[in-house]
Amino acid sequence: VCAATDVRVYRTEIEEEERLEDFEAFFRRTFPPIARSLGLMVWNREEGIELAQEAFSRAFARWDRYESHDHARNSVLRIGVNLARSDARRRARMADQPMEATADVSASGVDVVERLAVLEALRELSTRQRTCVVLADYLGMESQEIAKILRIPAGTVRTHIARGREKLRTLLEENEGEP
Amino acid sequence: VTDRYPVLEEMLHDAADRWSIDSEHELNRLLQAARPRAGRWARGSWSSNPRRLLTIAAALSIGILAVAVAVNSLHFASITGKPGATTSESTEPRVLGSDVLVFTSARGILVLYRGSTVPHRVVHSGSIGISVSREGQVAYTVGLSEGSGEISIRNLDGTPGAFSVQPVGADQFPAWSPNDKQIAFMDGKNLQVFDLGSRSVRRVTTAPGPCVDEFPTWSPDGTKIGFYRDCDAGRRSGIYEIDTDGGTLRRVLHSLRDGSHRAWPGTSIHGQPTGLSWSPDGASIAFEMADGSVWLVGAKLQQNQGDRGLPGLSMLVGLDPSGKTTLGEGSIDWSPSGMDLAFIRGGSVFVIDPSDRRLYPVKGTVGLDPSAISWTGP
Repeated sequence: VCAATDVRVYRTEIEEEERLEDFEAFFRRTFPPIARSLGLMVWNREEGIELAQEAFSRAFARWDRYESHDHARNSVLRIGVNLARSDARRRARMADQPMEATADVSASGVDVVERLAVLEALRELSTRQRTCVVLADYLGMESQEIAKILRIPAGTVRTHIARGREKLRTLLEENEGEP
Repeated sequence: VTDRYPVLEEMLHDAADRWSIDSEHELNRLLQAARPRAGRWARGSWSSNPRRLLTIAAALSIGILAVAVAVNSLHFASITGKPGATTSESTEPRVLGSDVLVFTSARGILVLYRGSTVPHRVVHSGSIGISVSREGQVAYTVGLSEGSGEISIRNLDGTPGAFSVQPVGADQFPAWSPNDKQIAFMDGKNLQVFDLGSRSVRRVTTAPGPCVDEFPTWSPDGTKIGFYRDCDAGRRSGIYEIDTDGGTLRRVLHSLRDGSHRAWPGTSIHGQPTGLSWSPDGASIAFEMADGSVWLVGAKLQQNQGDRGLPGLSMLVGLDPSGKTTLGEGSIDWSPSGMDLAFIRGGSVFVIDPSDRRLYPVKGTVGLDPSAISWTGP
């Protein structure tokens, strides 16, 4: 009986090791883009990282249930998007936050004004529009995939993307016209 | 609309890719936080004890079963008049028993006649929502891209309709009125009604702020339109009804802050409906959620629900056990007789008779992955 238990524990340890390696590979590949996309949605790098941490932690706890890395990625995104949306305090902070504090402007010598304009314009979109635009145009996802993640009809996703893009284009053109 | 938008893509990447993120640091942070749980796994303190696991699983299953049976008996008695009645789901496809069913799929818009198992194509392209009049005129969406779309009309034999609907915006989700004289649709944000007599369009709803009004469905007497208002899953979201002249607006089903909907005690519905259909007897609106569950909501049901302060809300069909997400866009419709309800589940059209709660997949639709359905008949 003891030997059988030892074998079982040993197998469990091997499975745990494989499980961990699989998760680590998934994390290294997908954490940066997902954290950045969540950062764009809540419009703050640090918040994006924290949301991604929470979403990946929950995914780690249920890692055995995922059929593939794509399945896991969609689940992480769904959790992250829901966390971003449901946290009213985060929204309140968004409204008050100065752009300079969020954009990590000191790290580059590129056109900071243009980058800030994009983030500023994103802020003007509705939450759903911003989410759809970021998933489509930053992560390069199809509307069907986005629909699965947000659990809304694909037609609605397409409408949000179209309206969000149109609004961004208008805002950025207005911004270019300003002295 | 799903085509790439390189300029915006480039700008978003330029804005976000410069945000430095240390993956190794973040991974270590996560694993450290998760270590106690991982340790329990590795030590096998309880996960490696199959007998204990089985005992816990058995106890949980019995508990859940007991609660489910109790709730089911109490809850569905009001709908079926048969206390304890449960849904009987058949996986064996059956031939469509009545009327004419029209649905969209990757193959286009297809029509299935009573007794037939082979659907015929009406239009090659898909659509965002469809509706068929009693005269057999199919209203569907064309050219919905970059924010614009039109409602087009075809006869069931595939010939063009006798009229066209004046375009407004990103027009989609058409719904024929019960007398076949008007078509309600969503213009990308608000609901509009096209009148065939005057060939004019009038706006019925004004969706506030970020909200959009979708899935219009007419009351059987044609005096009201039910719809779902999506406000970024916020508290203003929910199922509403409005007088067709744009008069009184009433909320039928409220949303909570987290986007879920209030239901009977201990339960909340998460996500967003994928379609609405007003029952021919006017008593309730049926709606389907993305998880495949089907619900009825209505004022008359409220009398049966006691005084819990909740809308008269009842689950008719549980979530899809296959776990396949329903990606419908007008995914539910009552038969003209009011005897059957068709809805999309696991890549097929299903039909349920609410009186005996038996549901089955419709032969000729299985595996076609429909996204919108509409039923018509004499």
